[in-house]
Amino acid sequence: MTSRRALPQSFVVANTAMLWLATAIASVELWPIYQSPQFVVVVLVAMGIGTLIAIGGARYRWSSLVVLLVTVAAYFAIGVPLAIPSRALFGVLPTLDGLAELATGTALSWKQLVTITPPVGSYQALLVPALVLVLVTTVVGLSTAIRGRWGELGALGPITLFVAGILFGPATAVLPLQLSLGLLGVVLLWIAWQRWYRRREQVRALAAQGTVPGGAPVEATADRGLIAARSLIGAVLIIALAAGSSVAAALALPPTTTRQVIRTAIEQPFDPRSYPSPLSGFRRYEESGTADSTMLTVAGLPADGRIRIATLDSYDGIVYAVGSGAVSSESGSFTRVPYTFDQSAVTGRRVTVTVTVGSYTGVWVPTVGKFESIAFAGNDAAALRDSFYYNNASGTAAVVKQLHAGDSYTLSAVLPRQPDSGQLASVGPGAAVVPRIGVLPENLLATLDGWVKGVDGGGARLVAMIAALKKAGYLSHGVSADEPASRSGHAADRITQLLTDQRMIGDQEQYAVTAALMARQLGFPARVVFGFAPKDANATGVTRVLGKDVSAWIEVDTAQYGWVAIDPTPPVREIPAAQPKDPTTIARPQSPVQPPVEDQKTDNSPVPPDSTQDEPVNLSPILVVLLAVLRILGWVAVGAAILLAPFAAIVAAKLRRRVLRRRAPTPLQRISGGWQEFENSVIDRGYTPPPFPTRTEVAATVGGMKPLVLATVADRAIFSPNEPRAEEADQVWRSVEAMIITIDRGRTRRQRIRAAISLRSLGGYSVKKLFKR
Amino acid sequence: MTMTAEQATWFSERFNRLVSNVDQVLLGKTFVIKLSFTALLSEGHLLLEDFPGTGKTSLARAMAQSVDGSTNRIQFTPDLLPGDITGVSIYDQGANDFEFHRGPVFANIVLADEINRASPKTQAALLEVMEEGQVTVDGVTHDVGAPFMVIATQNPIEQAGTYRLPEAQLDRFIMKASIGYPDHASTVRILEGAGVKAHETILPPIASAQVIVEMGALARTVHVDPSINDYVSRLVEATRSTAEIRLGASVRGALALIRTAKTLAAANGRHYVIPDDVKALAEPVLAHRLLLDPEAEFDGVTASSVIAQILIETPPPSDRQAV
Repeated sequence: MTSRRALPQSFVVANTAMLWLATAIASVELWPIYQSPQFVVVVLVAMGIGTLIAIGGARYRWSSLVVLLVTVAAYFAIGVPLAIPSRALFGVLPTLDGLAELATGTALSWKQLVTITPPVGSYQALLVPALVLVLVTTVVGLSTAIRGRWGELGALGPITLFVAGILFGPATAVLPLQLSLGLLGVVLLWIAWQRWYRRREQVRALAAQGTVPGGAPVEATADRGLIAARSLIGAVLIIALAAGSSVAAALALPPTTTRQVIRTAIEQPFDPRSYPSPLSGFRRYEESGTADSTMLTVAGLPADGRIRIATLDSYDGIVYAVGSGAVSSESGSFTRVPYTFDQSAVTGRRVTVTVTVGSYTGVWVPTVGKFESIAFAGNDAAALRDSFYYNNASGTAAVVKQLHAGDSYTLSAVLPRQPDSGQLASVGPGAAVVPRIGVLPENLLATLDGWVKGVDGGGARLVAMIAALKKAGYLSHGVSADEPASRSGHAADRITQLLTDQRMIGDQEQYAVTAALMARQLGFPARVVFGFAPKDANATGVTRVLGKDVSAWIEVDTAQYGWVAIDPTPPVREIPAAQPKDPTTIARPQSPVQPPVEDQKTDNSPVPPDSTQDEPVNLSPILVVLLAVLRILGWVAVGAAILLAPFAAIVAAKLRRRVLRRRAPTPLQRISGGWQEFENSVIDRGYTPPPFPTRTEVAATVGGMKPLVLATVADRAIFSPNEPRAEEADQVWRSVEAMIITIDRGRTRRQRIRAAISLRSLGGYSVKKLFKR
Repeated sequence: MTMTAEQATWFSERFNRLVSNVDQVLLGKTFVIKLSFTALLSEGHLLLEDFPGTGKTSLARAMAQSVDGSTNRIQFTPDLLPGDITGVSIYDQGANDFEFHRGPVFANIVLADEINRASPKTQAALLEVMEEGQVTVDGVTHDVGAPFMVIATQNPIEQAGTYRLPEAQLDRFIMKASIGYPDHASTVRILEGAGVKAHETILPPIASAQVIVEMGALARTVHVDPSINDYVSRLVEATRSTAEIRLGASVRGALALIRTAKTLAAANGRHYVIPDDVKALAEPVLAHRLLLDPEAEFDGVTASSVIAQILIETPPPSDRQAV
């Protein structure tokens, strides 16, 4: 087991260099998951250790089992300081806890990795998958390359790492074309070199067996160069074709969606639909026992800052909720975030606020702006951090363990740039996707139509709608005795009531829902935000957020500014007394809304044609399926064409060569070409004649009488003083075709295809002959 | 005039009969027998470097019997004198004149056994006969007749007390070959006939000396395409530019290769030479003409391996040479 084996040093060095290069490129695919210097350390050390194990295994002829055991031992020796540095003693010595976490992490960290939002850095044991992948692929890849019969299979190690990086990585690809082509280039170079090296060793082995006295190499120097050049040219040709096709395809047909990876397909463990919509409990905060209690204490809140509890984008006619049970929604997909989230693409003001929880409880984490990073403090900090989820689409955060009085955290965020009212009038609808509205309240379209009649432009209509709502509405929570009755809730009937009552009375809950639904009808993707809008916020001091600061507003997606927050709540003003019920009297003298009955005719066309996001396309289900199938088939065809292009080029080149040979001007050239065609065909079919063979030697390699007769006929035509006749040339070509058919008869279809796309015969003489007679 | 296809067929048939005849004595060594007859019909001489008891004498004797000619065997020793080979003039008192007594070299096939044991002077005397086909003694020239072929042997293992043939003299041999030990089956067959002594085996003559001369003349008319000449020229030039070789093959070597290739082509029933003929004969015809670099020799490189490497690295012609 431990006997030493002399490995050619250059062979090991070359394979190691190729593997390192390929692994380094493949590891870049994992970078977006970690984005931490510790990840680089893990990759480098794992590559080094894996290389030592593979070379040691080859040198001392360890069995697979011994290599496995050594790898496992090395994994546990280096795993803790590398992958779970927080559990290492003095940064290098593994602790028992660390080893236990490493063992469990080996099995469980994979799932954690795809249920957490990258980058994860060195959080918990999430570097374990990277360590396992790099170590295993290095050991297996290099062992296969230097010990295996087919060393080319060693390239599967880095390829596996690359694919794993894609599968476990984010949905947005980083340098996809560059990395793919880079890895392809290195792998093809590696394979070409491996093939050249193996052939050379086989030739030398033949020489050592006495094929040539003196043990001299039996391979021609020129032939070696030719084979190496042919392999290299083949590899370069394939890379060039693949690169050209891929770039052309990417430019012509750019991907319209993010790629599907494990994390996009996996169901996240936090489902906001399991919790009641926070908007349903809106009125609770206004009740006497809660209104004046301190919900939160916030330090660093900007003067105009609002605190977001949850973003609700799905309305089913009863409740506005986060996500929807009926349709998928980006806002309903929460992922774990260990500590930070990249918001570098968002322009706006950066703020840092410290929140201390008072009377507020719940899973929803009060946040400000677009979340960037969070640091929990207190005894429950670790538990809260481990159960922290975030949805970047809506900017909503949650902790499964729920917030309680005394919990505290510091939040860094970006307050996105917002347009003023003048700029808002000129905006257009954005492209955000929000769930379809389940039930639209009655009279909503009619009312909206009356408010925006005669106004042109999406933004202007939106501003007109908000203005009309503020003008017509009166604010009342209906919780105290001196306030007019105002029913809580925001179901469709409550919204209809709001719009049809003599006096439009409600609070932020109803106005936000109404505004959001109307904005949707105007073509703007819209959603309701539930949170707090403290009146005395200031950036320099501490803001006490009371229960009565509860609020709801809307966000509309605009093409120019992204999501824009709009508060549709009417100002607090005196509410006029209710008029007796008299059909001849207009209940809302300040409203420009026309009587609903008269507006019924216009109900069908109040929605501007700016957006069709909520309009279901009435296609036949069969047609939908057919279109989907055709789309898939189209993409498959494009992919297949790109993949098959290099092979088609090879087949076309061979056909061209054959035609030129067969149509040569003289019988002598046709006979010579016929023999060349036969020789190239047998070489493509795996026969290996000696270097620079004569015709007889090629025939002897193939075996049988017919090739020998053909060689004799060709030699006679070429070297005898007599000129061959045209009939002889035709006979030679018939014989060549018959013999190729005979050779193919005993072969499988796969072998025949391999022969057709083989590059072995395409080189030197053959290539030159492609372009001239 | 070039050989016709019919003449090639006749030549091949005769050649194969000669080979088959000798094959009865030297079992399992068809290629060496072919080489020997090729050398004979190319009007050249053969140097056999082999261990004792491999059948060198049997080969020479069988060849001589097959061509219905005379054969002589000369055992070379350090005290052998040139006159012992070529013959001497002895004074005849009765005739009052010197009478020339022919030496053993006057035969159709002469077996010069262990040629390297004789002094260079004696070797040179034989080599002169080989080159010129005649003996000059006391100013009188005596023709040895035709066909004339010397099969010289060397023992490769015993070097003490030997005089290595100079390269210039080695060049006179058209070929150098080894018979080698027979394979297992041939050995068994030889042992089965162990009751018959080798010299008791009498082979029927297949061709007269005159026919051999005619065949030699016919072989010279085999067609050689210019591309073949070019190939031979490239091979010979390669021996001169190879690092392991101090002295490459001479023009005489190239001519010998073409001459033997013609004979082999005719022996194979062809009236034209193909690259395979050249490849088959390159090692036996060229290897003994090369002088290896001492360092390469020390590294274990042999002339045969160099020729094999040159054959691998020199592409044979696949088409006629463009005129």
